[in-house]
Amino acid sequence: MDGEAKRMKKTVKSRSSIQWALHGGLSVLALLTAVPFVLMAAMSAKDLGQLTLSFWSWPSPFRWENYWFGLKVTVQYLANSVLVSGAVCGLTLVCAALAAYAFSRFSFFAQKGLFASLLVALMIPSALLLVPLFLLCRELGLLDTMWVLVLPQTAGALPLAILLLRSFFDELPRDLFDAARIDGASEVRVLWHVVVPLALPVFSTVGILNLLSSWNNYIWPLLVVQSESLRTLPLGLAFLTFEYDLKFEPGKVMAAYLMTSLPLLVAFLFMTRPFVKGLTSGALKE
Amino acid sequence: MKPERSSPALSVLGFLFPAYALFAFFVVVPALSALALAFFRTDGLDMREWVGLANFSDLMSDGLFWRSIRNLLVYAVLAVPVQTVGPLIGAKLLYTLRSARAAYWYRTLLVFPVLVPGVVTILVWQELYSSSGPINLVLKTVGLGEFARAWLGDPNTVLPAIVAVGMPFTGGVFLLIYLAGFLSIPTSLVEAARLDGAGSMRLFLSVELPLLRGQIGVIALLSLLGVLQNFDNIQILTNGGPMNASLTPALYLFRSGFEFGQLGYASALGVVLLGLCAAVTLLVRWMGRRNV
Repeated sequence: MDGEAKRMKKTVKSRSSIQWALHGGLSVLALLTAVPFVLMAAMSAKDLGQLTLSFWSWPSPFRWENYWFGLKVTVQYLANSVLVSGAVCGLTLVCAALAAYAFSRFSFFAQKGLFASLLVALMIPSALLLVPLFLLCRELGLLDTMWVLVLPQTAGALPLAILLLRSFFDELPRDLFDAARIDGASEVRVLWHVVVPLALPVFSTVGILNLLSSWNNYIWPLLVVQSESLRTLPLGLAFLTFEYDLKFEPGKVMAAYLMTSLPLLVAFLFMTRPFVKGLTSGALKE
Repeated sequence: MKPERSSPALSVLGFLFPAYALFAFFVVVPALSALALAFFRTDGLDMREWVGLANFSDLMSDGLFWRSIRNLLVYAVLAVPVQTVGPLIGAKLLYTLRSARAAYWYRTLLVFPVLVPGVVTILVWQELYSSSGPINLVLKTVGLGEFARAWLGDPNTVLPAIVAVGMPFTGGVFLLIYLAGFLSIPTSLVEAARLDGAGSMRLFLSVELPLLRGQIGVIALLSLLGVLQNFDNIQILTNGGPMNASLTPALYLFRSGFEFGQLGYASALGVVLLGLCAAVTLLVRWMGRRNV
């Protein structure tokens, strides 16, 4: 009995020491993850003199003007990115939902082939499409417009979006559609009032994936946009040092990076709740 | 019961049209014309001449192409293992942690870089690597000044430096995929193994790891495809330099197409890249199936 109790105590003790080790390991990983961004934040409050002479000390004076500058030079890029990413996301969700609904609800001629073409498209490296896509858009006179930023990115996002939405729609109970149809609702109404509310979790997943990829896309805008007024965030940031002659102003550059990182971080901070809620309340069983 | 408002065939067409019009126009047509373009020689942006397989044979005897393949191999060997195993370790630690609250915060901390614009991460690292940047500053401060260097300007360190931008490789979407895998392991299995006297290590190796094989395969594939296809990080950090030490096939494609105007040659390179991607995908799938 005594030995048993001793052993119990020992395992409990070793378990809690494992927990402490986990905390230690995860803290180190979290710290390492944060290092570049902490350095970015630390550098953003200094001017060149402070960076070279006192890199590791607290910024004094604190260069608030860096942030004002960072905001001023990037606000146009931010606005463009919001517009482009919003349009890509919205358009992708609408087109993909319609197509996925058709695949899930009807059976029709060449259904398998049309669907398989999406799977094939997922394997194509985006680099292969750059040259012909560029030529096509030049031919159409789309270069250096908003259209050239939105339409090809939407088209590129569609295969995965349709795939994800369809597999979710397929799981929904069939009776639901039929009941709504018998009540006289058109297919579009069924999609909008029955399917979309049920599929909110998968819509948010697809939307977020899309948002991140269009928000981060750098190569395509680099190719097709010349005017500064059309630059998206990644493009504007990549050219920032050159454009504003900031080779010797790393503090200002870092402040600009920091300011442009905030919108998405803040947005997700506020959106976590509806996102999680969508994940849990999306399932109407029975 | 009201009569049908429209025939199904028309509805189908209406539902499919927006997606497939965009898809056909901006994906299918370019993909097919990339295949066609590979058989032409182009000078500048307009002159075209049918050359058959000449682009491909030129590619085979192009030293720069083989250089880029060699760089790609080094890059893949460095990047794929850490990108596959790192998030697995992160997920295992999070999963084993008993406090759900702490796990939530650690997860947030590990995943947040996903929300920072990718270009910002890349450019911040460029600053960290610069000859007067923090990394060299630390080395000099602790007396290791002889190791200080322009990390991206040295052919020996440029590829590891590019891979290290993802440090510590434990976060991101891959972590979330693994975590979902861990959470889907039935607790009864874990309890049974514990009752049989399996320790933590044994549990991980004999129960959890085999059950996560699917996730590991998917992530290894995604990582490999990323290494094959993505080049925006290299384009920004070094544009392939110094002395082509970080030139990868995808970046070579981009540069020969848009810097040198050899669109046909670039397309031939793209076709080779497509072949590599397809081969890798099939290989990983085949390995996954064989191991079941």
